[in-house]
Amino acid sequence: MTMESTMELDDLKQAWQALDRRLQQHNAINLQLLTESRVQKAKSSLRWLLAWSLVQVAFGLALTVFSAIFWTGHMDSIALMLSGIALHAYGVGLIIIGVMELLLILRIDYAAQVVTIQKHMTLLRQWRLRSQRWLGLSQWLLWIPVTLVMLDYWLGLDVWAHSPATVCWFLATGTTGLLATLWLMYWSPSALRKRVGDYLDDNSTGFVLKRAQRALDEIAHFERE
Amino acid sequence: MDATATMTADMQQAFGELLQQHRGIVFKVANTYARDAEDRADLAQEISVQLWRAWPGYDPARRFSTWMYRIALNVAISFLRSDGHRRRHAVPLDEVVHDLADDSAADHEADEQLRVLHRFIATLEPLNRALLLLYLDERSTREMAEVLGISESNVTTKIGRLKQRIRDHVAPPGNA
Repeated sequence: MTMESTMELDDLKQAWQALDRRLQQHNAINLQLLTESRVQKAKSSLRWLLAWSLVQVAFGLALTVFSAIFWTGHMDSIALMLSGIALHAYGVGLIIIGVMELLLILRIDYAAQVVTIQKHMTLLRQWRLRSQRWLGLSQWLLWIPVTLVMLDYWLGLDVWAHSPATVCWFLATGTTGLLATLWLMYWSPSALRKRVGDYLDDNSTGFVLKRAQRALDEIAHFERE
Repeated sequence: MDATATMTADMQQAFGELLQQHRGIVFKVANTYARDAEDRADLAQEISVQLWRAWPGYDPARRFSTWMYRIALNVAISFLRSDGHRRRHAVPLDEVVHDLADDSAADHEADEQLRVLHRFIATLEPLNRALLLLYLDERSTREMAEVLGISESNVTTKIGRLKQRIRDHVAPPGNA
C-alpha cells in the first residue's frame, strides 16, 4: 500500500502545520509592513479609479448639457437634431455607468464575509466589462454625430444639407466596422476569437465576461448546501 | 479622507503588534493563492496594506483572526480572479514546497505530503481553497462560517465533501 493511498485530509494537517512553522521562519517573504511607498501606491491606485469615474461622470454631464442645448436649437435639421440626441443619450449613458461604478467601488469592504464581498466584486467586474464593451462598440457609430455636430458648431457647416452622400458613406463605414467587430466577438470561429481575445487581453471579447459569470455561478453553488 | 491618516501612534502600534502575532495567516493565505515567489510577496504585501486600510474599522469586540482571515481571503481571491494574464502562464502551486524545502530536514515524507496537498489545493475553486485553508488551520466550524458567510451546517457538509475529494485525488488509478 502506498503512502498516498492511505492519506486522509486530517493526516495532512500535521504536514501543513509544519509548513506553517517553516513559513514563519523563512525570510523569502519579508513583510515590509506599512512602508510608506506601498501604502501610497495602494491609495493612489484607488484614487485613480475613483478619479476616473468622477471624470467620466463630469464629462457625461457636460456632454449631456451641451448636446441638449444643441439638438433643441437644431430641430429644423433632422440630421443635426438626431446627432445631438445621440450624443445626449451617450452622455446620459456615461453618467449612469460612472455613478454605478462609483457606488460599487465605494461599497467594497474587504472586512465583509468572503462570499458577500466576492459576489459584490464579481458583479462590479461584470458591470465594468459590459459597460466598457458597449462604450467601446458605440465608438464605431459615435464619431458620425460627433463629426456632424462639431462641424456645425465650429464651422457652421451642415454636412447633411451639403452632401447627404457623405453622411451615408460615414454610416456605411461605421456600420461595417461595427458588424465586423461583432462578428469577431461572437460569430467568428472559436480559434480566431481566442486569438483576438488574447491580443486584446480578453477585455473586448466575451471570454472575460463568461469567466465573471462562471465565478458568480461558482459563488452561488458554494452558498448552497 | 483616508481614515488611516488620522490614526494615533498607539493605534498604529497596536496594529503592528497584532499583525506580527498573526502574521502566519498572511503567509498561509499568500502561499495558498499565489503561484510563485514573486506573486507570493506581492500578495502578502497587498494583504498587509488592505489590513492597514481596514484597521480603523476593526471592532475589538470581534476576534482579530476572523477579521484578518476575511480580509486576507478576500484580497487573495480577488488577486486570483483578476490575474487573467498570469493565469495563462501559471506554474504549479506546489512550487512553494520546493521553495521552502529544508535540505537538512529528514522528513521527506512530510514534504511529499505537502506536495500532494498543494497539488490538491491547485485543483480547488477559490472558495473551497479558503474553506480548506481554514480547516487545516484548525479553525472552529463557527469561525469558518463567520469568515466565509455560509451556515455552519454548510461548512460541515463541504468539509465532508473535501475529505472525499482528497481521497479520490490521492487514490491510485482504478481505486478512485
